[in-house]
Amino acid sequence: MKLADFWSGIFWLLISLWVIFEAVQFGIGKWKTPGPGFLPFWAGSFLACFALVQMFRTLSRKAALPGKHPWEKIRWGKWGLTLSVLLGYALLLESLGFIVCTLIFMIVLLALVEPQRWPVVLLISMVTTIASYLIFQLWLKSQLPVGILGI
Amino acid sequence: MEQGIWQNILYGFQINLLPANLFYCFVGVLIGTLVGVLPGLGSAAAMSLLLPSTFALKPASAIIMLAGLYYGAMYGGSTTSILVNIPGEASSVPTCLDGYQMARKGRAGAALGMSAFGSFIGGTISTILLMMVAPPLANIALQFGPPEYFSLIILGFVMLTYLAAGSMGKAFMMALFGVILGCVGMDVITGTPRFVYGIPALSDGIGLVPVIMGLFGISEVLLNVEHEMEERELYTNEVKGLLPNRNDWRKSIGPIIRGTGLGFMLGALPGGGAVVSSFASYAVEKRISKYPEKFGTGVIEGVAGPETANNAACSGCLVPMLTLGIPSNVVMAILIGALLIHGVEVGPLLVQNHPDVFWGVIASMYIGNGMLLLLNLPLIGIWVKILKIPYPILFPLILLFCLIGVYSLNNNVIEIIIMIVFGIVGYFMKKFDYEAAPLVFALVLGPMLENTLRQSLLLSNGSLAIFVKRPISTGLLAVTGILLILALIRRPVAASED
Repeated sequence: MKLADFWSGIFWLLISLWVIFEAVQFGIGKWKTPGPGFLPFWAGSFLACFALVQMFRTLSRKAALPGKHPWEKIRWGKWGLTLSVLLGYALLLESLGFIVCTLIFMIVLLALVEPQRWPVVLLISMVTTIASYLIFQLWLKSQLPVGILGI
Repeated sequence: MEQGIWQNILYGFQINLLPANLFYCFVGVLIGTLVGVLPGLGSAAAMSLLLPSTFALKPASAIIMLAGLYYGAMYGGSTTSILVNIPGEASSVPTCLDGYQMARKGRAGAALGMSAFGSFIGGTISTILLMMVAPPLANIALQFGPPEYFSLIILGFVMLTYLAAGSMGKAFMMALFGVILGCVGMDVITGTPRFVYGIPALSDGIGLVPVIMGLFGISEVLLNVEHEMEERELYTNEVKGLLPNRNDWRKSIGPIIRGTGLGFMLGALPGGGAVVSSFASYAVEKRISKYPEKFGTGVIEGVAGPETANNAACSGCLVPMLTLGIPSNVVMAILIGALLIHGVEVGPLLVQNHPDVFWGVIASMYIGNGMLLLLNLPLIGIWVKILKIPYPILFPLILLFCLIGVYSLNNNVIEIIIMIVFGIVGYFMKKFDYEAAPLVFALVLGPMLENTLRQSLLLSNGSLAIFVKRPISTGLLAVTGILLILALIRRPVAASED
């Protein structure tokens, strides 16, 4: 974790500098009359201090500490695929509609991430889509987008 | 006062015995048990999922259902810990240690039975304590002004980071990041847009639900898909004899009583909650045991104590929430969010202004705990079957529920994008060992922190001395100071509500 802590420290330092910069634009105000940038400024400043302390402590530490979630053997392809399918769902939901979008979403995830047999994929995808439509649209009246099917 | 309590609790029961409320209480505890049983779906994410569906309900029904989900998950979590050695909920981690070993020795039934009875006893007794403690505390809280609230929130932050699992510095950073995220949107006093960048959905601030679903739901799935999914070893054939024997009871009664007290107190502390309580209870039982070396090999005390404590903590958590409007953990933060959406202001005036919510939820916990005992003992077979659903089939369902839950909140795709972004943030936070709990806590309390700070400074003409001139505020800051000093000397490492 030694290097990881150093790099995440840099990340938070950059975030905090950006927050401080923005806070100054909002107007920090005075102690008597704190402005909209007052809290972001102080929160950003403290964040910067903590990030710096973490970076220096990591550099002075000799042995690396083990992390809870190791970086080895990560299937970045499957990881990226899952994330892309999620994003795709968000972008296509309103144009394709809930039913079509959900069906595709389920099929892709079940068939590609941890491949199941096709009958299983199709059955679960259809049951899930219909059940969630019945529960959320008809029972809970969630107003899901209708899209190309018109329902 | 005595008579007042009984009248009020009768009123609470009247509300709960309405068929609709009984139904919502049942739905809450049922979904809670399901969520508890399924690893990878925590009560925080499930609650946000259910939140949009409560919009059409009355506030009392909504909170009865959501609270039921929370303590229901504590019951369900133990089932997975005992049978599969995977904690269904973070608060059931200690139960894995001895519960699973009991299952391997063919005593799964006794472990499941004792954890259900312990949960029931802990849940019921701590609800009585809640009923006694909350109203007088709300009266004291009426004297709180901005400086007191500010000091209390600061104490909450420090407590939460003190109890955090990993590095305290990292927990502080997450809390500060949460405060900054809480600033996003229009400034309430001047109307200045902050960190909005022309995105209309951000001008009201970042919604709590997409953030929580991302940090707890999506990120967990991302962590699980990155590696080959493993087959789980399930000890289901040995589930028989759910009633613990006399010897089990004799050994467990002490841990149950201690677990109740410990859970209630730790639950009521800001930053405390079910997870901290169950870890603390396990540690206490091991320390005072005559045979500490046997802990971890399947002793029933190691199951009875923590399982009682996490349920007692659920009632304890409601103390600061119902009386001060301050959440002690993430789940309570969502509950406060839910009440705000229903137009119910949480705080010391809740008892007076919304007695139906206050007494309704307390009475519902007696009824809900009874329902859970019935759900978890005779129906254990159903939950065991659900455990057999393989993760490759489960994870698309979890993702879908997150998507629908967030979308149906405001019918806005931007909120889904925000959820996905926080899913990625949460994934990397887990990878780099940062905890999500302080972030969410700060996101909820950030706006309150800012308002009370600015009001206090206006009151005092810019002098920070206002925080140490008023006795309650001084007391709270003194405790904060002591905690910080203790942290510099030596800090116990527990797990937090994650």
